[in-house]
Amino acid sequence: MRRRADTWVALAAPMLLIVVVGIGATFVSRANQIHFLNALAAVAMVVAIYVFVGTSGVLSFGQISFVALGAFAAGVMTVPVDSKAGVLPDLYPLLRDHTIGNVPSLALAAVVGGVFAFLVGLPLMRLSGLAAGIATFAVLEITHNLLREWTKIGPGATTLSLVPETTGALQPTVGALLVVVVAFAYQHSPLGRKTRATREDPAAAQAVGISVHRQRLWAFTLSGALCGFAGGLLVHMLGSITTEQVYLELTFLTLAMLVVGGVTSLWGAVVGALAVSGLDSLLGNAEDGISVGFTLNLPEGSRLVILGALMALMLILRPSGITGGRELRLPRRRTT
Amino acid sequence: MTAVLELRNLDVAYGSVSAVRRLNLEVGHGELVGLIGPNGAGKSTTLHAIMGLVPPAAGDVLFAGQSVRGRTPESIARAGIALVPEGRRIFGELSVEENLRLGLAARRRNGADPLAAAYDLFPMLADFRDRQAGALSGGQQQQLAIGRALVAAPDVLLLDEPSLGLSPTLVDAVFGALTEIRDRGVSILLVEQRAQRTVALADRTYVLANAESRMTLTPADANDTDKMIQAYLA
Amino acid sequence: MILAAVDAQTLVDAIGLGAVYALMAVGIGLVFGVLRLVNFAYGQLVMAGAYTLAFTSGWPVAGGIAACFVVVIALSLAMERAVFRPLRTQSPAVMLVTTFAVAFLLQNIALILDIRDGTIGEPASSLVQLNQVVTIGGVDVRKVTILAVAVAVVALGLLALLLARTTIGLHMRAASADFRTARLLGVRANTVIGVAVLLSGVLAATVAVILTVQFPLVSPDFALRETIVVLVGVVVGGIDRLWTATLGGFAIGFATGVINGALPTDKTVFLPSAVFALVILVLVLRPAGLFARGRAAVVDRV
Repeated sequence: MRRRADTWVALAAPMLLIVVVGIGATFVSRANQIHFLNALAAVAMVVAIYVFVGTSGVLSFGQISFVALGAFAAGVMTVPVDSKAGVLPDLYPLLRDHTIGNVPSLALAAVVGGVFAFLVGLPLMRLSGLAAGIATFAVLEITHNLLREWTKIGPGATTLSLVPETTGALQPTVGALLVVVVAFAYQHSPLGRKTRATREDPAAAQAVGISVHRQRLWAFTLSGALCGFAGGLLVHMLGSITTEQVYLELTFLTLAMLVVGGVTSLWGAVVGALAVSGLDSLLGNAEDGISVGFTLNLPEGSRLVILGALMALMLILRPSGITGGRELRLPRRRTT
Repeated sequence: MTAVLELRNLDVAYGSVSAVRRLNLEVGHGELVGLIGPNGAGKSTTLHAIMGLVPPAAGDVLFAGQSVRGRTPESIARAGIALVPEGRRIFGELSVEENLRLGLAARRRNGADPLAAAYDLFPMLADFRDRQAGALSGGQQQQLAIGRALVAAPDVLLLDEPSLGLSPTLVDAVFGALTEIRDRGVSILLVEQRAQRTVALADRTYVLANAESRMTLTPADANDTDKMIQAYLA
Repeated sequence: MILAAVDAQTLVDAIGLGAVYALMAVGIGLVFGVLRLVNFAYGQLVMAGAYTLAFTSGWPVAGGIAACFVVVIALSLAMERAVFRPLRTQSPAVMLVTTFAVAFLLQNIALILDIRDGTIGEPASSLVQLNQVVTIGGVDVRKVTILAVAVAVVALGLLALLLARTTIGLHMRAASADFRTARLLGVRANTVIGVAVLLSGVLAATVAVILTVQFPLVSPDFALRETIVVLVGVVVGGIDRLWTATLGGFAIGFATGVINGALPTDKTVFLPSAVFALVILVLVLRPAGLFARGRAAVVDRV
């Protein structure tokens, strides 16, 4: 009985947090709303990354490339046809002459992310440790390079603009909730459980017949799809996107969020994303000068310094993160 | 006379699993003491705890009357305890002589010919001094591992299953060398699975089963089959 | 077809680049050998050295270089004490991500320091005369290229001697192979690690001096691209052993130089993709590294 209740709590807690942030977004001023929305987008991305890194235990620097692909796919395909030829003159005709709606673009983003992840994962999921880190970093670099230089599929080095915006908090909130539900379902499915087994003890898992390669591939593909979806959310939230926005700095930030929250739990991913987003926004404001009782005015660039220091400290002092890498549970009554 | 090495109520655990429980053990000056027991009994763990590789949960390790608990492995080695690890752990890419020279790191006094101790005991090593250690046979590697530990001129020599994987003839050679080492004044704690040979060789032998010390045996017990069986199964 | 476009000029420049990358590879490989830690922040050590040279531009050349060495060595020892030491018991993934964080941290500290004068970028022009060219046998060779190759040869030679002939070198080689057993024999962990970190700092400072000749404008991302490329080269070459790591670093530097020189500029935009695709290919086929013998324990394959 207790187990059942625990499971529901483990799902309800992150969802509740997301809803709270979403509601909060509708009550604050326009200027501050962007912070809440960024936090929701961060949750979607970090949970998507967690689906691979957290369940398989393999470090990947490449998940943001799927976010990038999703963002650009959704963005390019939703720019209105009449403007498209003007802003993206070199596009392939197939892309240039068609436009799809908001929700279909999100689906497209997920498909693009998933397919790309699957193809890349086929060879890559044989690797672990250092080799996996470098190989997935290579994927990030390749994606960045292609998106930046190949003007037939996107804007290249220029900003992709005129993407229809989804104003308000509804889509980001629902999107984040969706990602969490899918991640949770995966985690508790037989598939997800097998992947977790490969994280704990790859040799033992193989001994009982679990194919480590296949499990990791599943996780990687799902993570890629969710990352793509998150990218679609992002581009519609911002109304524009550039290759630099989905590259090294975002990779660092999302990884920091996951680590600070706790790599091995969904709760950790959500808590980390919200906590670090909050801090990031606060620091960003402080750089411009805010009053928190006294006036806080940080030098430009210190935001990333503090975040970097925080991440390093967390890893040194408490590598399991804020949540200790565990899901939220009902408090236990001690009977002794 | 205080023992050169003493374990008092030693408790060692890996997480929540207790590997050694309330172990009391003594090695006197110039003694060759055995420690036998079935697999998983905690013998290797005991040696690791002495060398500081794993922290004791409770109890103490005393070397010449002083506690060495909490010290780093290299400082314990430099204090005069040497370990010949399980599986020998030879540096295969280095030459035989380089392996021996590594042992000098723990040496406290600089003698005239520091590697002589090893070459005297195991003349074969001198013949192979420039060869890559990885090219040596199992028995030769075991001699190298012991020689490397001796080069440090330790007061206490710990050995973790030196006879593992060796033919009976080689085991004879190794055990013979141990007697000579003991006669040169080095105290020895020998962890072994070959119960009977160890009991016959050592001055005293402790039996460790299921993390606890059951009894001690003397060479006289070596031929007492009943007692040997009882030691392992009780 | 590509070979036809490769002339002596390109080869010489490529060798120079390879030499610099080899020095960085050794710096990374030394620390990895004893700590099993990939220092993503290695490039920031070079950056710190470059900034020191920039901020001491008014000093006499020798003074500036000395300051550069002092700062870089101090920074690398501080990094060891504050970051590497507490992490010694952690998994490789945690160590990787932490050095990643430190890299970001240092880069942005540099940004704060740099931007005080209103612009990003500080000039380090004390050694600019080394960028001059001498013509040898019809080929234009920059003086700094000769310096780079000479320094690399000398430094690597000295290092090889240190490792092969000295006691500390023996201890370092043993620690790289089997740290635990080395400690059991009395090898002092902190000493061996300290020496490795010190040497890697010296190498980073050397690279900073050489690079500022060619790239006199120092910005927070100084040497970032180079570090990434060297890291890739080191893992591809085989990070487990010092000579394979160095060879990997040299190889990728040389290859980059040749390809950059051989291809016309408009064709090189997709070069990173090609290189990284090759990297993935190599890693999938040989995760232990191109030059490694068989399987290494460091990288596993399922």
